[in-house]
Amino acid sequence: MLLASSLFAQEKTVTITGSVVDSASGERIPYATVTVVGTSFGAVADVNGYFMLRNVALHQTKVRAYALGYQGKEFGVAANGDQPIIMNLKIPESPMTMATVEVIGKTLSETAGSTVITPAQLQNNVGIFKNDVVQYVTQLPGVVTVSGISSQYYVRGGGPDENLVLVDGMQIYNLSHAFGLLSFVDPMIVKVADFSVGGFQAEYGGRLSSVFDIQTIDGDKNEFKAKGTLDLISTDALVTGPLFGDGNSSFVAFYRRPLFQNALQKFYSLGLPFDYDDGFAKATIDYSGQGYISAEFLTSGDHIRQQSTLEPDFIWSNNSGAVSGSFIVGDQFDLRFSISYSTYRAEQLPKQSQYLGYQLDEISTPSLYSDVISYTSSGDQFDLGLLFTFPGYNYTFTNKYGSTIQESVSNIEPQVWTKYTFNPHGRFSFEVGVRADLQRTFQLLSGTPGGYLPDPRLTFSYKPSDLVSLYANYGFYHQNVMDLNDENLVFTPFDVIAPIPESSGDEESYQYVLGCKVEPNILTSAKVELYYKGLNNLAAVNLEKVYNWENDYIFGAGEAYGADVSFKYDAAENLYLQTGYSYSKTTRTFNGTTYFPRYDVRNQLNASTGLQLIKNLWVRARLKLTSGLPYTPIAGYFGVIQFNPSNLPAYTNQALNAQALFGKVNTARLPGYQSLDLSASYDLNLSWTHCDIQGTLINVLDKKNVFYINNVTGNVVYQLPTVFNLSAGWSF
Amino acid sequence: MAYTPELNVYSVLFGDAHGVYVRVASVTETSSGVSQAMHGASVTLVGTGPNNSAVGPVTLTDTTALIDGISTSFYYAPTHIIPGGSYSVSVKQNGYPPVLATAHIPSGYATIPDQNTYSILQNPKNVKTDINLAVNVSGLASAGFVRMLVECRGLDRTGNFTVKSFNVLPVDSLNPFIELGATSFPVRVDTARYKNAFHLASEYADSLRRSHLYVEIIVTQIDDNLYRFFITSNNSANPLLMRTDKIIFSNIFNNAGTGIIAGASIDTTRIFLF
Repeated sequence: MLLASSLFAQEKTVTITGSVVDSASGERIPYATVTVVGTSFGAVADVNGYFMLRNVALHQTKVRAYALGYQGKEFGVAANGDQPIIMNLKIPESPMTMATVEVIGKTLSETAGSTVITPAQLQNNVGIFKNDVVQYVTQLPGVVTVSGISSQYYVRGGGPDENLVLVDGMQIYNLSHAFGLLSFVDPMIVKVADFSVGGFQAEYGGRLSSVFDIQTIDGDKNEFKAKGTLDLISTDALVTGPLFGDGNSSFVAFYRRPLFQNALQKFYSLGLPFDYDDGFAKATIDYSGQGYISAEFLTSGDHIRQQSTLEPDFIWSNNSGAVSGSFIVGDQFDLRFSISYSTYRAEQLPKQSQYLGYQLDEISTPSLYSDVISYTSSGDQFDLGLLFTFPGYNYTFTNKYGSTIQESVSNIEPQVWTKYTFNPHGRFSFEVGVRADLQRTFQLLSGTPGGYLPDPRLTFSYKPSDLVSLYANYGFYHQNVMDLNDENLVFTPFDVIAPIPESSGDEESYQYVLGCKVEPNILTSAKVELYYKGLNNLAAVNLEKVYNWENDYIFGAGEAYGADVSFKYDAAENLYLQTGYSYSKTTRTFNGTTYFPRYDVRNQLNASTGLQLIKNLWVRARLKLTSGLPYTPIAGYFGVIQFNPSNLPAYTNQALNAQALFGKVNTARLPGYQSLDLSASYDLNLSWTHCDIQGTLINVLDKKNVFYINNVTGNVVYQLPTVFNLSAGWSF
Repeated sequence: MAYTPELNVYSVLFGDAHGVYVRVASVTETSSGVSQAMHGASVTLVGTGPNNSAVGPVTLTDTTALIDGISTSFYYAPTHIIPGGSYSVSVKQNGYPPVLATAHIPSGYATIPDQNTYSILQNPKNVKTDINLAVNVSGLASAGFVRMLVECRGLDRTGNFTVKSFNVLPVDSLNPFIELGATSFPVRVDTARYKNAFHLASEYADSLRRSHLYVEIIVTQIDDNLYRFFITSNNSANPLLMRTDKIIFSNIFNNAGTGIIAGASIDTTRIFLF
């Protein structure tokens, strides 16, 4: 939430707080703008739709509320004595209000490296699964995937386990569904998402590289509604409506599973025996525009059972529940809290597979969260938060030599943070934050190995004009978990997250970001960011461990730097264009060898565009070009002697099996990736229902993009050929 | 990646053996031709025996021989390999980087006290219960890998030679060698397992002709290099792994190629039953 102060300090001033809501559904609108009519000051509502205007002069005052996708509306302000004025600003939905939206200010963190993703933006996404939120993220500058359809992503040279994912504040350990075809958070339940590629502030921690903070919808407070999608990959249904019929409460219930995956697989020979179930339920009660409390449950389960006994089975699930809320207290404080519990379970059953071992990963995470934001009379903000988590880990990991790590660990992880934002709307502003893992701080003070100082986070911003923002960011980050999977595997259905041994110390990263953003008008924006990221004490499993006396873990370092450039033009009513180019260079050093990890994509260009040809008929296109991924070349072949323990000397008289000898790690590169994807959608509005039909073609030009080179046979395995998907959405 | 010439070298040096075999081949550009041995290389053996006594250098002879009917090419020298010693093999060949690798030869065991051997000979089907059997591999520097078998060997009723093995060490049948730490020597052998193996061997002997019938107690020790090579070469590579440097262990370093120079000791006690 942002706050602006009136310049007319001599007049009687009041504080206006409240929420901005959709007039039809009653749902609060994240990041809506509220201004005082006739003045240049106002505020941006927070992610929950609450706003606070302090020191507003009362003199026939009106406020105006507007938001992307909504029609702006003015509201008269009635005095309430000396008490804060509470307003519930209801504005109607309208798809053609983009040009009328004014920018009065964004938070610093929004400016530096963060992208706000709304359902409207998801509609512009062209992916194999309609509107998938992770597929959208993978097209942002600085975000890399290692296949055209994967929902596992890498951010600015960070590993796959360095990305923090939160759904309504609940930590999610694996978003991927169906071998990465889609994520388990369905776009229908997404209200808004914030994605930060780096430089995130002190309210986030526990991961080194990125934050993906997803907020789910609250539901319709006024009417019962139902909607759903029939899709070859996923079929879903959602019902929502008022909980108590008083206009202040709502519920949402959602279920999704694939119904036609067998047809899809037979048609395309995908060889992906995916199957999954997703569920989501939430109840929300609002309190007079001053706060809300909600209870929710989110579940997801994947079951990949392969017919061949030589192929492994994979089973994994996420279950999360939370009670959370946010309240405006008085005329100064915004209080947020949640109590949540989430579990993650993943199991790899190798069956008779010769190259995989058994894996089990179970994590349970009870957590308590509270955050108080204070809005000072001068317009500054002070934030003080705490997050207490009590994760329990139970994991088993077996490497290819049969060496097994089996642990059960329970931790207490108390984290606190504070930050001060100075002059958030001014030409010069800065944000100073610090985040402490109290346990590590205590270790440092007591001289126990593994301790460290709290992480500093700094952001500076300077606006030489209304159109241009310059900003710089520095941050230090720690992470106490690792992925037991080999990050050089071309495909992993799920991560095996485990705590780094306490005595080894946490992974750490320091990052610098320099950026410039130009917004000549509300439709157009361009941004350039340069970054440098240093990574120390990176933990990995010793996959080459053979003997009991060898270490289970190895530790290395990394470095990444690059530039992200993006351009966006969005006239919501009929045209949008979004492009992003990234250059990056990433290295890892383990066991004295420095190499380019397989996600070191040097050049990446994403471009997407959409055009409304005639009313309700949209055509959309997405182009993705990347330079090739690193891989280890074959240096030659040699004959392998098979020693028989019962007859060792017999090695002298046996025929030899040919075995590839590999060269230096990742010193070759695959051919570049290129894919052009198209979709067309048509909205049909009838008196009793709304339907939309969408057809999608992935890799229209049927480019043969290399997925990987088989390690054993040397055969080239390609990514998806041209793939067609059809979906039909309905609502009433 | 352009192919660069590298060598592929194998040799297992057996303690107390009186011969050294070194196989030299090249890493080839294609998978065909990997069985082609390389002739004309300079192969040298240098060793350090007990009390730092020097062995060699010995130049091995390029030879081709028929072994079990198969034509094989080895570099050979009739050198006595001393248990507990360290040996280095170097290979030089024009156009290839030189190979140098070292192996430590396990010491061999000192075991089966005479009185137990005697009791076994006197009453093979009623071994005394006070056997205190140890396998002493204390000559190893870091770790040792040991297996111990009791084998019954003889002629069956149709006159064919037959062998039946009964496992004493290790207990885990999935791994043919037991890993020993440097501090765990001498290894105390599970007497019950030893007795049981011997009984089984003796019972099996009942089905064989009572002629030239014997039981062998075989203790095999291999060094770290051979064990790692064995376990890595017997595991399938993951086809989905992109980082694929050395899947199979090699102790040939300095980018000269790949292969293994290893040490092993095989000690056998033969007890004739008839």
